[in-house]
Amino acid sequence: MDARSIGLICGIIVGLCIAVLVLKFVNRGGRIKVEYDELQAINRNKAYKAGFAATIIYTAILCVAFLIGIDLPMEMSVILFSIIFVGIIVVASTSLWNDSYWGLSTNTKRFWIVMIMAAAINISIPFAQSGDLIIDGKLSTPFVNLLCGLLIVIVAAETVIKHFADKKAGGNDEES
Amino acid sequence: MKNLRIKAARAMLDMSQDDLAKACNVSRQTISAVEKGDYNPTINLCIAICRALNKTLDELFWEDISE
Repeated sequence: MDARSIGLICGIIVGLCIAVLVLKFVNRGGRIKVEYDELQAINRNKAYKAGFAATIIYTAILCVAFLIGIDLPMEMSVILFSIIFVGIIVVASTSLWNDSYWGLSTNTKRFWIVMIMAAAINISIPFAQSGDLIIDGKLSTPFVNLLCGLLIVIVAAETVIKHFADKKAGGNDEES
Repeated sequence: MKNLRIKAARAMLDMSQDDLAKACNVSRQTISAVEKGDYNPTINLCIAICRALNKTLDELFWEDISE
């Protein structure tokens, strides 16, 4: 096993530990598992279905592109991560618009503190690194960090739009 | 169909949707959806709502055919 592989494994282990700590910080009572009520669970099932469908469709499009020989302007690592991002953004958006993004135990203030930090780190990493975002006309691996940051920005923007849409419609107001 | 009986029972106890949601361990949006008739709750949630509002299932959820 070379140094790069050992570094990668260590990175994954550290990442998992950070994820557990973040979950404990974001959930009330230091819980790791996020709780949802019955309507939220139904809506999240719909969101996962939509995410699954979006991932399949996007992957199929990529497969067709490969088969007919289209040279995509992305490195393989960016292509693979973009598939994950498509799934995540569809699940997040669908559950967000159905009031099922945050669980019953989620502390939204803490959630946004973590998200803003994560977005800032991910957006700054590609610029702090010496590597270029585009190499030989293709988006390179550091672009994945930018995608991560963009994902958080999209969710934040959707949250703000949803907030104002709810206010305007009065649909979820207290006495509606 | 809107469930105005839950809303009325809640108002009698001076409870907000948020208060009722916390008492039932669900989100406020779920209580809103039940009151608006957008969501048919499970029997477990119906019981939780009844207990929180000191009402019976019949009083809050039973619908006569004539209604």
